[in-house]
Amino acid sequence: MSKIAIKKIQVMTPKRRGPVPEFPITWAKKGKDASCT
Amino acid sequence: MEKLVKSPYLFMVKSEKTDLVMVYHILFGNPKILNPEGLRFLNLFETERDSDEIEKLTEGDADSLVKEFSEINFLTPPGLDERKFLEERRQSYLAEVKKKKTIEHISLSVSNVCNFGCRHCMFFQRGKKSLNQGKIMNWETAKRCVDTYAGLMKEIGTTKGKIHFGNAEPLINWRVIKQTLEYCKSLSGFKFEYAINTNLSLLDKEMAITLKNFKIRIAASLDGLEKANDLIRTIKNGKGTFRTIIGKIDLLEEIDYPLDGISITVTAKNFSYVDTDIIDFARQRKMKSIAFDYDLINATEISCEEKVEKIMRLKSYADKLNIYFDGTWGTPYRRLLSRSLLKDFYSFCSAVEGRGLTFNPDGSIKACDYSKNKIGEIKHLNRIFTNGGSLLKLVEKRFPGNNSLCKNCMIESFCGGQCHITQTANKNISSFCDFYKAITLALLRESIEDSES
Repeated sequence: MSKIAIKKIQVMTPKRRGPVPEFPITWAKKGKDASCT
Repeated sequence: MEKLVKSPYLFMVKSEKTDLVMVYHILFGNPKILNPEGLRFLNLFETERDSDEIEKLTEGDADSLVKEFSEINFLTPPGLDERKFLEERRQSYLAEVKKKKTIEHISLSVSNVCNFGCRHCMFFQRGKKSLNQGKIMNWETAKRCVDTYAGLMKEIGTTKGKIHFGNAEPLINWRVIKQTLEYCKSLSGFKFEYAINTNLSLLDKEMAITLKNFKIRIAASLDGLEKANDLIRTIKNGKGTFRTIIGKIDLLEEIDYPLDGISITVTAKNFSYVDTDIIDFARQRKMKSIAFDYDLINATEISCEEKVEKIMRLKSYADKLNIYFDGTWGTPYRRLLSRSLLKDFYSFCSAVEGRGLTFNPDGSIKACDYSKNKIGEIKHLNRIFTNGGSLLKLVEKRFPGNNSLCKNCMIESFCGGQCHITQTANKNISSFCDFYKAITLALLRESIEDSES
Protein backbone atom coordinates (compact mmCIF):
# COMPACT_ATOMS: atom_id res chain seq x y z
CA MET A 1 0.00 0.00 0.00
CA SER A 2 1.45 3.41 -0.98
CA LYS A 3 1.99 5.99 1.71
CA ILE A 4 -0.73 8.58 2.14
CA ALA A 5 0.40 12.04 1.06
CA ILE A 6 -0.92 14.43 3.69
CA LYS A 7 -0.53 17.35 1.29
CA LYS A 8 -2.99 15.76 -1.12
CA ILE A 9 -5.72 15.44 1.48
CA GLN A 10 -8.70 17.76 1.15
CA VAL A 11 -11.07 18.32 4.08
CA MET A 12 -13.97 20.64 3.37
CA THR A 13 -16.89 21.81 5.47
CA PRO A 14 -20.21 21.54 3.58
CA LYS A 15 -22.35 24.59 3.09
CA ARG A 16 -26.04 24.85 2.47
CA ARG A 17 -27.06 25.52 -1.12
CA GLY A 18 -29.21 28.44 -2.11
CA PRO A 19 -29.98 31.73 -0.45
CA VAL A 20 -29.09 32.10 3.17
CA PRO A 21 -32.00 33.65 5.03
CA GLU A 22 -31.25 37.10 6.30
CA PHE A 23 -32.66 36.01 9.61
CA PRO A 24 -31.54 33.19 11.86
CA ILE A 25 -33.66 30.07 11.53
CA THR A 26 -35.53 30.66 14.69
CA TRP A 27 -38.84 31.69 16.08
CA ALA A 28 -41.27 32.87 13.46
CA LYS A 29 -38.86 34.79 11.33
CA LYS A 30 -39.90 33.00 8.22
CA GLY A 31 -43.36 32.47 6.86
CA LYS A 32 -43.73 29.41 8.94
CA ASP A 33 -45.38 28.23 12.05
CA ALA A 34 -43.66 30.05 14.87
CA SER A 35 -43.86 27.29 17.39
CA CYS A 36 -42.13 24.77 15.18
CA THR A 37 -38.95 26.67 14.43
CA MET B 1 0.10 10.65 20.61
CA GLU B 2 -2.11 8.26 22.48
CA LYS B 3 -3.67 5.48 20.49
CA LEU B 4 -6.67 6.53 18.46
CA VAL B 5 -9.35 4.70 16.55
CA LYS B 6 -12.14 5.70 14.17
CA SER B 7 -15.35 6.35 16.08
CA PRO B 8 -18.01 3.66 15.54
CA TYR B 9 -20.53 6.48 15.13
CA LEU B 10 -19.17 7.79 11.83
CA PHE B 11 -21.53 7.74 8.87
CA MET B 12 -20.49 8.15 5.28
CA VAL B 13 -22.48 9.63 2.39
CA LYS B 14 -21.42 9.13 -1.21
CA SER B 15 -22.59 10.78 -4.35
CA GLU B 16 -22.51 9.05 -7.71
CA LYS B 17 -21.49 12.29 -9.39
CA THR B 18 -18.18 12.79 -7.60
CA ASP B 19 -15.48 10.83 -5.82
CA LEU B 20 -15.83 13.04 -2.75
CA VAL B 21 -17.46 11.59 0.35
CA MET B 22 -19.09 13.22 3.32
CA VAL B 23 -18.33 11.86 6.76
CA TYR B 24 -20.10 12.89 9.94
CA HIS B 25 -20.64 11.68 13.46
CA ILE B 26 -24.23 10.51 14.05
CA LEU B 27 -24.20 11.89 17.61
CA PHE B 28 -22.07 15.01 17.24
CA GLY B 29 -22.33 15.96 13.57
CA ASN B 30 -19.52 18.16 12.22
CA PRO B 31 -19.77 16.91 8.63
CA LYS B 32 -16.63 16.99 6.53
CA ILE B 33 -16.23 16.35 2.84
CA LEU B 34 -13.12 14.32 2.07
CA ASN B 35 -11.34 13.49 -1.14
CA PRO B 36 -10.25 9.84 -1.63
CA GLU B 37 -6.85 10.50 -0.03
CA GLY B 38 -8.58 12.00 3.00
CA LEU B 39 -10.84 8.99 3.31
CA ARG B 40 -7.82 6.66 3.03
CA PHE B 41 -6.23 8.56 5.88
CA LEU B 42 -9.31 8.32 8.08
CA ASN B 43 -9.61 4.63 7.32
CA LEU B 44 -6.09 4.05 8.62
CA PHE B 45 -7.76 4.28 12.00
CA GLU B 46 -10.00 1.28 11.38
CA THR B 47 -7.50 -0.24 13.76
CA GLU B 48 -5.94 1.52 16.73
CA ARG B 49 -2.96 3.65 15.70
CA ASP B 50 -0.33 5.65 17.54
CA SER B 51 1.83 8.41 16.09
CA ASP B 52 4.72 6.12 15.19
CA GLU B 53 2.47 3.96 13.07
CA ILE B 54 0.88 7.00 11.39
CA GLU B 55 4.30 8.41 10.58
CA LYS B 56 5.26 5.19 8.84
CA LEU B 57 2.06 5.11 6.79
CA THR B 58 2.03 8.75 5.69
CA GLU B 59 4.20 11.35 4.00
CA GLY B 60 4.13 14.78 5.64
CA ASP B 61 2.98 16.06 8.99
CA ALA B 62 -0.29 14.40 10.00
CA ASP B 63 -0.51 16.00 13.46
CA SER B 64 -2.87 18.85 12.61
CA LEU B 65 -5.22 16.49 10.75
CA VAL B 66 -5.24 14.03 13.64
CA LYS B 67 -5.97 16.94 15.99
CA GLU B 68 -8.82 18.19 13.77
CA PHE B 69 -10.42 14.75 13.57
CA SER B 70 -9.96 14.15 17.30
CA GLU B 71 -11.63 17.44 18.23
CA ILE B 72 -14.79 16.43 16.40
CA ASN B 73 -14.71 12.84 17.69
CA PHE B 74 -14.00 11.28 14.30
CA LEU B 75 -11.02 9.76 16.11
CA THR B 76 -11.29 8.78 19.74
CA PRO B 77 -9.31 6.82 22.29
CA PRO B 78 -10.21 3.13 21.98
CA GLY B 79 -13.20 2.13 24.07
CA LEU B 80 -14.38 5.70 24.76
CA ASP B 81 -18.05 5.74 25.79
CA GLU B 82 -19.29 8.60 23.63
CA ARG B 83 -22.89 8.17 24.75
CA LYS B 84 -21.77 8.93 28.27
CA PHE B 85 -20.68 12.36 27.08
CA LEU B 86 -24.08 12.87 25.46
CA GLU B 87 -25.68 11.96 28.78
CA GLU B 88 -23.56 14.61 30.50
CA ARG B 89 -24.68 17.16 27.91
CA ARG B 90 -28.28 16.21 28.62
CA GLN B 91 -27.84 16.75 32.33
CA SER B 92 -26.23 20.15 31.70
CA TYR B 93 -29.16 21.15 29.51
CA LEU B 94 -31.74 19.91 32.00
CA ALA B 95 -30.09 22.07 34.65
CA GLU B 96 -30.77 25.08 32.40
CA VAL B 97 -34.39 24.02 31.91
CA LYS B 98 -34.82 23.70 35.68
CA LYS B 99 -33.60 27.27 36.09
CA LYS B 100 -36.22 28.27 33.46
CA LYS B 101 -33.43 29.78 31.41
CA THR B 102 -34.43 27.99 28.22
CA ILE B 103 -37.80 29.72 27.90
CA GLU B 104 -37.67 32.15 24.98
CA HIS B 105 -41.27 32.63 24.02
CA ILE B 106 -44.86 32.00 24.90
CA SER B 107 -47.83 31.31 22.72
CA LEU B 108 -51.33 32.43 23.57
CA SER B 109 -54.01 30.14 22.19
CA VAL B 110 -56.45 32.97 21.94
CA SER B 111 -58.92 30.90 19.92
CA ASN B 112 -59.44 27.18 19.72
CA VAL B 113 -62.08 27.82 17.09
CA CYS B 114 -61.51 28.24 13.36
CA ASN B 115 -63.78 29.58 10.63
CA PHE B 116 -62.14 27.24 8.11
CA GLY B 117 -62.86 23.53 7.83
CA CYS B 118 -59.67 22.03 6.42
CA ARG B 119 -60.03 18.28 6.76
CA HIS B 120 -56.33 17.63 7.32
CA CYS B 121 -56.06 20.15 10.17
CA MET B 122 -55.57 18.59 13.56
CA PHE B 123 -58.02 21.02 15.13
CA PHE B 124 -60.69 19.94 12.68
CA GLN B 125 -59.92 16.27 13.29
CA ARG B 126 -59.91 16.60 17.05
CA GLY B 127 -63.15 18.53 17.04
CA LYS B 128 -64.56 18.63 20.51
CA LYS B 129 -61.35 17.37 22.13
CA SER B 130 -59.70 20.73 21.38
CA LEU B 131 -62.64 22.54 22.83
CA ASN B 132 -62.14 20.79 26.13
CA GLN B 133 -59.31 23.24 26.69
CA GLY B 134 -61.73 26.14 26.26
CA LYS B 135 -62.85 27.91 23.12
CA ILE B 136 -61.79 31.50 23.42
CA MET B 137 -59.26 33.05 25.76
CA ASN B 138 -60.69 35.89 27.80
CA TRP B 139 -58.75 39.05 28.59
CA GLU B 140 -58.22 38.11 32.24
CA THR B 141 -56.47 34.89 31.25
CA ALA B 142 -54.42 36.61 28.53
CA LYS B 143 -53.31 39.26 31.04
CA ARG B 144 -52.44 36.60 33.57
CA CYS B 145 -50.34 34.77 30.96
CA VAL B 146 -48.44 37.95 30.08
CA ASP B 147 -47.93 38.82 33.75
CA THR B 148 -46.69 35.29 34.44
CA TYR B 149 -44.32 35.51 31.49
CA ALA B 150 -43.08 38.93 32.57
CA GLY B 151 -42.45 37.50 36.05
CA LEU B 152 -40.53 34.62 34.54
CA MET B 153 -38.47 36.99 32.37
CA LYS B 154 -37.64 39.05 35.44
CA GLU B 155 -36.63 35.91 37.32
CA ILE B 156 -34.20 34.81 34.61
CA GLY B 157 -32.93 38.34 34.03
CA THR B 158 -34.12 39.13 30.56
CA THR B 159 -36.10 42.08 29.25
CA LYS B 160 -36.73 40.79 25.75
CA GLY B 161 -39.66 38.46 25.20
CA LYS B 162 -41.57 36.91 22.34
CA ILE B 163 -45.29 36.38 22.20
CA HIS B 164 -47.07 34.33 19.59
CA PHE B 165 -50.81 34.42 18.94
CA GLY B 166 -51.97 31.11 17.66
CA ASN B 167 -53.93 27.94 17.64
CA ALA B 168 -57.00 27.39 15.50
CA GLU B 169 -57.72 30.89 14.16
CA PRO B 170 -56.54 33.72 16.43
CA LEU B 171 -58.17 36.59 14.53
CA ILE B 172 -61.54 35.28 15.75
CA ASN B 173 -60.46 36.73 19.09
CA TRP B 174 -59.00 40.00 17.78
CA ARG B 175 -60.26 41.99 20.78
CA VAL B 176 -58.02 40.04 23.16
CA ILE B 177 -55.06 40.17 20.78
CA LYS B 178 -55.35 43.96 20.66
CA GLN B 179 -55.76 44.26 24.41
CA THR B 180 -52.69 42.08 24.89
CA LEU B 181 -50.61 44.20 22.52
CA GLU B 182 -51.62 47.42 24.25
CA TYR B 183 -50.97 45.90 27.66
CA CYS B 184 -47.52 44.66 26.67
CA LYS B 185 -46.72 48.11 25.33
CA SER B 186 -47.61 49.61 28.70
CA LEU B 187 -45.26 47.31 30.61
CA SER B 188 -42.12 49.31 31.28
CA GLY B 189 -38.78 47.55 31.21
CA PHE B 190 -39.83 44.89 28.70
CA LYS B 191 -39.57 44.67 24.97
CA PHE B 192 -41.68 42.15 23.11
CA GLU B 193 -41.59 40.74 19.62
CA TYR B 194 -44.78 39.26 18.22
CA ALA B 195 -45.88 36.66 15.73
CA ILE B 196 -49.22 35.31 14.60
CA ASN B 197 -50.35 32.24 12.70
CA THR B 198 -53.49 33.12 10.83
CA ASN B 199 -55.49 31.99 7.83
CA LEU B 200 -55.89 35.75 7.07
CA SER B 201 -59.54 35.44 6.09
CA LEU B 202 -60.86 37.67 8.88
CA LEU B 203 -58.21 40.35 8.44
CA ASP B 204 -59.52 43.87 7.91
CA LYS B 205 -57.65 47.12 7.36
CA GLU B 206 -57.67 48.12 11.00
CA MET B 207 -56.23 44.76 12.04
CA ALA B 208 -53.65 44.88 9.25
CA ILE B 209 -52.46 48.32 10.32
CA THR B 210 -52.19 47.16 13.93
CA LEU B 211 -50.13 44.14 12.83
CA LYS B 212 -47.88 46.52 10.93
CA ASN B 213 -47.57 49.00 13.81
CA PHE B 214 -46.56 46.26 16.23
CA LYS B 215 -44.29 44.64 13.60
CA ILE B 216 -46.07 41.34 14.12
CA ARG B 217 -44.60 38.59 11.96
CA ILE B 218 -47.36 36.91 10.06
CA ALA B 219 -47.27 33.22 9.27
CA ALA B 220 -49.99 32.46 6.75
CA SER B 221 -50.72 29.46 4.61
CA LEU B 222 -51.50 29.14 0.94
CA ASP B 223 -51.47 25.51 -0.13
CA GLY B 224 -50.56 26.09 -3.74
CA LEU B 225 -52.31 28.07 -6.46
CA GLU B 226 -56.09 28.03 -6.72
CA LYS B 227 -56.70 24.40 -7.68
CA ALA B 228 -54.16 22.97 -5.22
CA ASN B 229 -55.14 25.26 -2.35
CA ASP B 230 -58.88 24.81 -2.79
CA LEU B 231 -58.63 21.04 -2.67
CA ILE B 232 -57.59 21.14 0.97
CA ARG B 233 -57.86 24.68 2.39
CA THR B 234 -61.61 25.11 2.57
CA ILE B 235 -64.38 26.52 4.65
CA LYS B 236 -66.67 24.08 6.41
CA ASN B 237 -68.95 23.53 3.40
CA GLY B 238 -65.93 22.53 1.30
CA LYS B 239 -65.68 25.79 -0.65
CA GLY B 240 -62.16 26.91 -1.52
CA THR B 241 -60.42 29.81 0.19
CA PHE B 242 -57.80 30.84 -2.39
CA ARG B 243 -59.45 34.04 -3.52
CA THR B 244 -60.19 35.14 0.03
CA ILE B 245 -56.57 34.61 1.05
CA ILE B 246 -55.23 36.42 -2.03
CA GLY B 247 -57.50 39.38 -1.22
CA LYS B 248 -55.91 39.61 2.23
CA ILE B 249 -52.38 39.25 0.84
CA ASP B 250 -53.30 42.19 -1.42
CA LEU B 251 -54.54 44.13 1.61
CA LEU B 252 -51.22 43.65 3.39
CA GLU B 253 -49.39 44.82 0.28
CA GLU B 254 -51.65 47.88 0.05
CA ILE B 255 -50.69 49.02 3.53
CA ASP B 256 -47.03 48.33 2.76
CA TYR B 257 -46.74 45.40 5.09
CA PRO B 258 -46.44 42.50 2.65
CA LEU B 259 -46.02 38.90 3.69
CA ASP B 260 -42.40 37.86 3.51
CA GLY B 261 -43.35 34.26 2.89
CA ILE B 262 -46.04 31.62 2.88
CA SER B 263 -46.45 28.14 4.33
CA ILE B 264 -47.61 25.38 2.02
CA THR B 265 -49.14 22.19 3.35
CA VAL B 266 -49.24 19.25 0.99
CA THR B 267 -51.44 16.20 1.43
CA ALA B 268 -52.16 13.30 -0.90
CA LYS B 269 -55.07 15.39 -2.25
CA ASN B 270 -53.19 18.42 -3.54
CA PHE B 271 -49.76 16.78 -4.04
CA SER B 272 -50.02 16.61 -7.85
CA TYR B 273 -51.12 20.21 -8.11
CA VAL B 274 -48.40 21.89 -6.04
CA ASP B 275 -45.49 22.71 -8.29
CA THR B 276 -43.10 25.45 -9.36
CA ASP B 277 -45.99 27.80 -10.16
CA ILE B 278 -46.43 28.57 -6.45
CA ILE B 279 -42.75 29.55 -6.30
CA ASP B 280 -43.29 31.86 -9.28
CA PHE B 281 -46.21 33.35 -7.37
CA ALA B 282 -43.98 33.94 -4.32
CA ARG B 283 -41.43 35.65 -6.51
CA GLN B 284 -44.01 37.89 -8.16
CA ARG B 285 -45.12 38.91 -4.68
CA LYS B 286 -41.48 39.59 -3.71
CA MET B 287 -41.60 37.00 -0.96
CA LYS B 288 -38.34 35.78 0.50
CA SER B 289 -39.27 32.39 1.87
CA ILE B 290 -41.51 29.39 1.42
CA ALA B 291 -42.14 26.85 4.13
CA PHE B 292 -43.25 23.66 2.42
CA ASP B 293 -44.43 20.73 4.47
CA TYR B 294 -46.20 17.49 3.93
CA ASP B 295 -49.02 16.82 6.35
CA LEU B 296 -47.11 15.82 9.45
CA ILE B 297 -49.68 13.24 10.45
CA ASN B 298 -51.49 11.82 7.46
CA ALA B 299 -49.36 12.08 4.34
CA THR B 300 -48.37 8.43 4.19
CA GLU B 301 -50.24 7.81 0.92
CA ILE B 302 -47.50 9.62 -0.99
CA SER B 303 -44.40 7.49 -1.50
CA CYS B 304 -41.16 8.51 0.10
CA GLU B 305 -39.46 8.76 -3.32
CA GLU B 306 -42.17 11.07 -4.65
CA LYS B 307 -41.96 13.28 -1.57
CA VAL B 308 -38.19 13.63 -1.84
CA GLU B 309 -38.23 14.20 -5.60
CA LYS B 310 -40.74 17.02 -5.29
CA ILE B 311 -38.88 18.78 -2.50
CA MET B 312 -35.52 18.61 -4.25
CA ARG B 313 -36.98 19.84 -7.53
CA LEU B 314 -38.91 22.72 -5.99
CA LYS B 315 -36.01 23.64 -3.73
CA SER B 316 -33.64 23.78 -6.68
CA TYR B 317 -36.10 26.02 -8.53
CA ALA B 318 -36.53 28.29 -5.49
CA ASP B 319 -32.76 28.48 -4.96
CA LYS B 320 -32.35 29.89 -8.46
CA LEU B 321 -34.95 32.56 -7.74
CA ASN B 322 -33.21 33.36 -4.45
CA ILE B 323 -36.20 32.23 -2.41
CA TYR B 324 -35.46 30.41 0.81
CA PHE B 325 -37.26 27.07 0.61
CA ASP B 326 -37.40 24.97 3.73
CA GLY B 327 -39.70 22.90 5.91
CA THR B 328 -39.83 20.60 8.88
CA TRP B 329 -38.12 18.01 6.66
CA GLY B 330 -35.03 20.23 6.63
CA THR B 331 -34.56 20.15 10.39
CA PRO B 332 -32.13 17.20 10.65
CA TYR B 333 -30.09 18.59 7.75
CA ARG B 334 -29.97 22.09 9.26
CA ARG B 335 -28.97 20.71 12.64
CA LEU B 336 -26.28 18.52 11.10
CA LEU B 337 -24.77 21.34 9.06
CA SER B 338 -24.88 24.07 11.61
CA ARG B 339 -24.74 22.73 15.16
CA SER B 340 -23.00 20.08 17.24
CA LEU B 341 -23.94 18.66 20.59
CA LEU B 342 -20.25 18.76 21.44
CA LYS B 343 -20.65 22.50 22.00
CA ASP B 344 -24.30 23.30 21.68
CA PHE B 345 -27.69 21.98 22.74
CA TYR B 346 -30.65 21.11 20.56
CA SER B 347 -33.54 18.76 20.06
CA PHE B 348 -36.00 18.61 17.17
CA CYS B 349 -38.01 21.75 17.89
CA SER B 350 -38.54 24.50 20.42
CA ALA B 351 -41.29 22.53 22.20
CA VAL B 352 -39.07 19.59 23.09
CA GLU B 353 -36.17 21.93 23.84
CA GLY B 354 -38.31 23.58 26.50
CA ARG B 355 -37.99 26.94 24.74
CA GLY B 356 -41.65 27.77 24.54
CA LEU B 357 -44.86 27.51 26.53
CA THR B 358 -48.34 27.52 25.03
CA PHE B 359 -51.23 28.74 27.15
CA ASN B 360 -54.71 27.40 26.46
CA PRO B 361 -57.83 29.53 26.90
CA ASP B 362 -58.46 27.80 30.23
CA GLY B 363 -54.95 28.60 31.52
CA SER B 364 -53.57 25.11 31.07
CA ILE B 365 -50.14 24.80 29.51
CA LYS B 366 -48.86 22.76 26.59
CA ALA B 367 -45.35 22.47 25.15
CA CYS B 368 -46.56 22.95 21.57
CA ASP B 369 -49.53 24.76 20.03
CA TYR B 370 -50.59 21.61 18.23
CA SER B 371 -50.32 19.22 21.13
CA LYS B 372 -53.42 18.06 22.94
CA ASN B 373 -51.44 17.05 26.02
CA LYS B 374 -51.35 19.48 28.89
CA ILE B 375 -48.10 19.74 30.80
CA GLY B 376 -49.31 21.99 33.57
CA GLU B 377 -51.47 24.86 34.78
CA ILE B 378 -50.64 28.54 34.89
CA LYS B 379 -51.39 28.68 38.61
CA HIS B 380 -48.71 26.04 39.23
CA LEU B 381 -46.21 27.12 36.59
CA ASN B 382 -43.15 26.40 38.75
CA ARG B 383 -44.08 22.72 38.98
CA ILE B 384 -43.30 22.00 35.34
CA PHE B 385 -39.66 23.02 35.87
CA THR B 386 -39.02 20.83 38.90
CA ASN B 387 -37.70 17.27 39.04
CA GLY B 388 -40.50 15.07 37.80
CA GLY B 389 -42.24 18.12 36.31
CA SER B 390 -43.87 17.61 32.92
CA LEU B 391 -41.70 20.00 30.94
CA LEU B 392 -38.51 18.60 32.41
CA LYS B 393 -39.68 15.06 31.66
CA LEU B 394 -40.54 15.95 28.07
CA VAL B 395 -37.20 17.67 27.42
CA GLU B 396 -35.33 14.76 28.99
CA LYS B 397 -37.24 12.17 27.00
CA ARG B 398 -36.71 14.00 23.72
CA PHE B 399 -33.05 14.94 24.16
CA PRO B 400 -30.97 13.32 21.40
CA GLY B 401 -29.51 9.98 22.36
CA ASN B 402 -32.33 9.23 24.75
CA ASN B 403 -34.77 7.57 22.39
CA SER B 404 -34.38 3.83 21.89
CA LEU B 405 -36.28 4.00 18.60
CA CYS B 406 -33.56 6.26 17.18
CA LYS B 407 -30.47 4.48 18.47
CA ASN B 408 -27.70 4.41 15.84
CA CYS B 409 -29.96 5.88 13.15
CA MET B 410 -27.96 7.86 10.56
CA ILE B 411 -29.61 11.07 11.80
CA GLU B 412 -29.97 10.07 15.43
CA SER B 413 -29.01 13.37 17.05
CA PHE B 414 -30.17 15.75 14.33
CA CYS B 415 -33.67 14.35 14.12
CA GLY B 416 -33.90 13.09 17.67
CA GLY B 417 -37.28 11.45 17.18
CA GLN B 418 -38.81 14.09 14.86
CA CYS B 419 -41.85 16.32 15.40
CA HIS B 420 -43.49 15.94 18.78
CA ILE B 421 -46.94 15.86 17.20
CA THR B 422 -46.02 13.33 14.51
CA GLN B 423 -44.55 11.10 17.16
CA THR B 424 -47.53 11.29 19.47
CA ALA B 425 -50.31 11.27 16.85
CA ASN B 426 -49.06 8.84 14.23
CA LYS B 427 -49.17 5.10 14.45
CA ASN B 428 -46.96 4.59 11.40
CA ILE B 429 -43.93 6.54 12.59
CA SER B 430 -41.47 4.39 10.62
CA SER B 431 -42.70 5.80 7.30
CA PHE B 432 -41.86 9.27 8.60
CA CYS B 433 -38.44 7.95 9.70
CA ASP B 434 -37.81 6.68 6.16
CA PHE B 435 -38.76 10.06 4.76
CA TYR B 436 -36.51 12.06 7.12
CA LYS B 437 -33.56 9.80 6.31
CA ALA B 438 -34.18 9.94 2.56
CA ILE B 439 -34.58 13.71 2.37
CA THR B 440 -31.53 14.28 4.57
CA LEU B 441 -29.47 12.00 2.32
CA ALA B 442 -30.65 13.86 -0.78
CA LEU B 443 -29.74 17.22 0.78
CA LEU B 444 -26.34 15.94 1.89
CA ARG B 445 -25.59 14.58 -1.59
CA GLU B 446 -26.47 17.98 -2.99
CA SER B 447 -23.96 19.53 -0.57
CA ILE B 448 -21.24 17.12 -1.69
CA GLU B 449 -21.86 17.92 -5.35
CA ASP B 450 -21.86 21.66 -4.61
CA SER B 451 -18.51 21.48 -2.88
CA GLU B 452 -16.89 20.24 -6.09
CA SER B 453 -18.19 23.06 -8.25
